[in-house]
Amino acid sequence: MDYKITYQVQNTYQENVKEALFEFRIMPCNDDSQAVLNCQIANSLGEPVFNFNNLFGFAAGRIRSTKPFKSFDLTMTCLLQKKKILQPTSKMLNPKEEQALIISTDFLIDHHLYLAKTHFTNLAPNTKIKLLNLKKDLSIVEYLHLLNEYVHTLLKYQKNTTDVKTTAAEALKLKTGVCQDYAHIFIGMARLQNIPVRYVSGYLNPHKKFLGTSQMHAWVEAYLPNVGWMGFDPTNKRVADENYLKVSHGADYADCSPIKGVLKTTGDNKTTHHVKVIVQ
Amino acid sequence: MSELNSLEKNSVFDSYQVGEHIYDEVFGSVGKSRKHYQKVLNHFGKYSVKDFQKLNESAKVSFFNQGVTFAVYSDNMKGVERIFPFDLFPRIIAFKEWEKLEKGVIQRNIAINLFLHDLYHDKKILKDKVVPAELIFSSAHYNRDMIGIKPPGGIYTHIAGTDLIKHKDGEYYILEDNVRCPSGVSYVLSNREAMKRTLSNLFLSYNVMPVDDYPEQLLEAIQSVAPENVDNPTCVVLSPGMYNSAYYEHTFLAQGMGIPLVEGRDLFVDKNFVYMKTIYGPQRVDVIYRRVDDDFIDPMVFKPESVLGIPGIMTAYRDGNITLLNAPGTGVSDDKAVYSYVPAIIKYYLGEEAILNNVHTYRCEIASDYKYVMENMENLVVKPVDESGGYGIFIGRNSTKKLQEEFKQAITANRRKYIAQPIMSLSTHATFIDEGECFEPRHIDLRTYCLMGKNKQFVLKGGLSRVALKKGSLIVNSSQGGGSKDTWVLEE
Repeated sequence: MDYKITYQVQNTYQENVKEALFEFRIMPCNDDSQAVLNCQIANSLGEPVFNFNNLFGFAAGRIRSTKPFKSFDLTMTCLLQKKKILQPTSKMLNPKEEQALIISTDFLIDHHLYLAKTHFTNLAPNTKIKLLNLKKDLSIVEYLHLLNEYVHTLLKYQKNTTDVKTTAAEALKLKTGVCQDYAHIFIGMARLQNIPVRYVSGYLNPHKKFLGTSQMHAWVEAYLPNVGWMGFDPTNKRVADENYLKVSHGADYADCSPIKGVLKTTGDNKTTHHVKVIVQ
Repeated sequence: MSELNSLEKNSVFDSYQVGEHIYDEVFGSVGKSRKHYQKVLNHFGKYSVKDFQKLNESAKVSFFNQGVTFAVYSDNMKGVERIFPFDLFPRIIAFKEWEKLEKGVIQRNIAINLFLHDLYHDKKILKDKVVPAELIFSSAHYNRDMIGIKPPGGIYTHIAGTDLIKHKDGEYYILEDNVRCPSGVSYVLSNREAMKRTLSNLFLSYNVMPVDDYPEQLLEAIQSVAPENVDNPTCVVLSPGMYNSAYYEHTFLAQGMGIPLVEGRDLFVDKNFVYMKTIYGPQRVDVIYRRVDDDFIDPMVFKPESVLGIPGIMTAYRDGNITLLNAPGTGVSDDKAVYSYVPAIIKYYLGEEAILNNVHTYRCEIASDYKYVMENMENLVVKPVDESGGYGIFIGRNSTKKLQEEFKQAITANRRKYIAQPIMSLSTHATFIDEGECFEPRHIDLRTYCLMGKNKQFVLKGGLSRVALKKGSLIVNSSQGGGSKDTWVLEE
């Protein structure tokens, strides 16, 4: 299936911005299940876009401006081809083998980026939360399905109760949040069981009645030993399938924030995002 | 070192008493001086207390004239500029002793660079379980943005400020590696300047190795690690600005090397290249000797509120378009818990035994070490693993029960954050004490300066001998009320 994705961000500033460097990660990536056919970026400043790959190998863009401005709009339009994701389960190890593997030193070293207790995901010092533990006879994939459902029950989906600075521990206290909070909690709990998990940002098929279609969405990918990465969406209690259009992944939100900037200005600013996904 | 000479009657040294179980650099036992100090003692023997006070004054004037000051951070005195107290009695290191020390420092820093390269690439040393992987990944200074980056020449710690002490057994021990942004080298040069002016006759009577080539050597090291295909690199010193405690040193080094001193706001990144704003327009920069900490260097990647750094510089660095000295992420190797593995790290990469000793280190994270620390607080020094400058240190000797309890609680709350070491009896050195109007023994350490460039290893022949001016005190850091001495390394 092909998708036309439009991402738009509008920033307005109370005072002139004298110097600015914007960085954005909004373009869908190419991988086994998806291919970018065309991608275009336009910005209101008319500045050229500098493209580079971030630490995780995902395309990011930068725009630098030294002329004063009070508003900045950026629009990305992309045509994306998406295939069905096949989950290979044949190579799966038995629970005993899996659990021996994930506590080995080599496993920790190879996956340390996605086992890290990061600022957004760390649940370790917060002992009040009931964790979902990996039991002896449970396979990792079974555990992840259970965790996906469990995390879904921990929060009530409610916009504007949390923001981009909210951590997993904070969202758990509030009991409300949006996709990124669900993702951070999932990550925090699974990493405590030594299962590598990465934070994923992207877009959703708008025709399904999913939560999170009006903005960029967030879900997770967990590592199944001997098999590979598998996507879970605790916000919608689903496995991430061909309806999930991936942009990038990282250790947590900080690696995937759609747009950030370092600006020389004073006073307030306002930002609005619009996402539109059309099935072609 | 065992050659001792009898000291003639000399008033300013009459009351000099070497402490029990302490190695004194000048006097082996009461009245017997070490051979290489004989000329100093003879020279000082001709002076009266008044002469010393006069000399002291003129040394102080020399520092004022040179503008050598530093700032101390404390709650009630934000950034007060002070003169680093200077002592007239030089610390003298004989050639043989220095030779071993220099070899040891270079060996250590070569191993540390191989270690850092491994940590940010194949991680073999972790897979071979020589260093525990958890220890590295839990270090506050392990910088994942360095993964896969190959700095020119494979060098991460271009400038290392290895701290050593001499224990009661007369052997040097490494105290800290200081491979982030070590400071203090400007004092080495200004101490020498003050010494030459105040006691020129004495200075000339010894064959002292020069230290004033440091800026030249530093520039050579900086230029040697320029990005590939840059023939005539533009190098700069990046300072956090005039409110930084070492700002004087930043200006001093930039001036000495004849390269621009810049702040973050003077630089910008465009299309993964770094430029300096000049009155002639942007000028490309190739190498940055940065005195800004990792966390502040790129607000796009690290602390977003930092105004000291250059937004976007880490991707320019990843692309190999700019060299940073020292490389980000070096702090993982001077984490004080990782420190305890340096002898094993040397053995692993170089197949050699460490030339210089490590101080035995208890890692509170380990159950048996933790238990020992809890039961022996009064005999230990407790240090946070990720601090520098002598901040947050607990010294067991003569500590109050209340302070012991406070530290026990802090350790228990975060065991990874603390290590403990036996209290080392730092050697003492004759130091002029104004109030006492005489020379008294005071504890000292030694900070060495090691430069690593492409095919270049250099240790400054001298260093900063820091003195704990308070009687009996073991803390020599300038931020904690220490002073310093000129350090003479003698020719063969």
